[in-house]
Amino acid sequence: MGDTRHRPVTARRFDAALVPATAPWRGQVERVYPTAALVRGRNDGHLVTLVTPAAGLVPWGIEIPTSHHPPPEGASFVLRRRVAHLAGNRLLLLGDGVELGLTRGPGTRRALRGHLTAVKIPARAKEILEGGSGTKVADLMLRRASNGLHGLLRAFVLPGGTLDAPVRDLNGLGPGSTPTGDDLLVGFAAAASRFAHLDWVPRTRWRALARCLEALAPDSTTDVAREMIHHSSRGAFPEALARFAELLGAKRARPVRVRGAARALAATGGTSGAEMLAGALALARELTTSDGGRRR
Amino acid sequence: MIERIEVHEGRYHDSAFLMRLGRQLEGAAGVQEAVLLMATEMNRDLLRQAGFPADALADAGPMDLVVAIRADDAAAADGAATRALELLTGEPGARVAAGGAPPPPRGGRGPPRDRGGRAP
Repeated sequence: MGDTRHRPVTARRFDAALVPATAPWRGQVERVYPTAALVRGRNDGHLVTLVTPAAGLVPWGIEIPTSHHPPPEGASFVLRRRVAHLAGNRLLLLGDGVELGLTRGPGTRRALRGHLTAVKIPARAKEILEGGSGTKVADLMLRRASNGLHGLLRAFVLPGGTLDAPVRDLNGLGPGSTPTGDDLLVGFAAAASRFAHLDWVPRTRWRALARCLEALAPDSTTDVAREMIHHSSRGAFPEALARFAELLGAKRARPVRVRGAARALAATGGTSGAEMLAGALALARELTTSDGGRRR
Repeated sequence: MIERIEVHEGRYHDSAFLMRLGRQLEGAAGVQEAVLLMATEMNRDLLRQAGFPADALADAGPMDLVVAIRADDAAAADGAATRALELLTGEPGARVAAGGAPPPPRGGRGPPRDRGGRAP
């Protein structure tokens, strides 16, 4: 990712939200992984994520060719007007970037039913939707995740239902750098954003959920998950999730396309993609059998 | 039965890797359960509910990785802890606590802290 001393590196895939940044955003490479590096903002504490093509684009992410070695931890990073200075080298952001909000289009419940029938639910998502039955920590976690997700669903479709507690019950729960419960929250939020746009759930419910997500305690989960939740509260999601969620119920989306988007989402990360899928499906399923609190 | 908790400060791994590692550890003789989680408040509560010693997690935070082992005896727990460290660092022969401080894990901030065990 980094040896660019003699020529600038170009990036064509990056979060479109980074383009308007005209004031310099300064940070430092805090942690380096095989497929990503995290840059911590000096003033705002937020993260820019430098990813290889294998990792998948995330909000405030920039995809950098695999041929470039990772920058060293502690390296400086400054982003201003489409040019990032990374460890003294230049990284040029070309084009408009990738929109990580959901594109808007009309939908029908009939289409949604067809989409849900087409989606092949991965084992991890099935475990969460059904809950665990054993006594080991992993089983307890699955039960809590399943109960938490259903609690969130109930509260969300109930007009005036309080969302703080069910959101907190999932926040930081489970293994991984983005815990299972946080992946569920983000997947659920993406579906909520989609269905609020379609007016299948009241927009006030989506806004209430976004407020709860933004209000979570900063030390309640890992820093990567916290960033993901922060962006989801403003309607921006990991690319694979955004592309899946915006198809849900879309009149022109053929089921086979939705199935492909679900497969791509499920393949994201260790188990994160499957968990986000479970979160989104929980709300989508509910809306094929109820009015989502619309007419109560 | 003995429960052992170890905290690896500042270590991140994806969930699939951690669950696979847990299953590998559970394959060893005398190891009843092995689970690896970030020490978020929810996960600390989960471990408490499952009977792991709560005081061992008092100083751990969401950026720390917890290795929780339930084994038939101390020898099996020690073996699983050492194996966990090897698998996390990719360095065979890495030792926990008594065997000398291991090298800092890749991407981590230092050696694991052995939070002891509890024999009911």
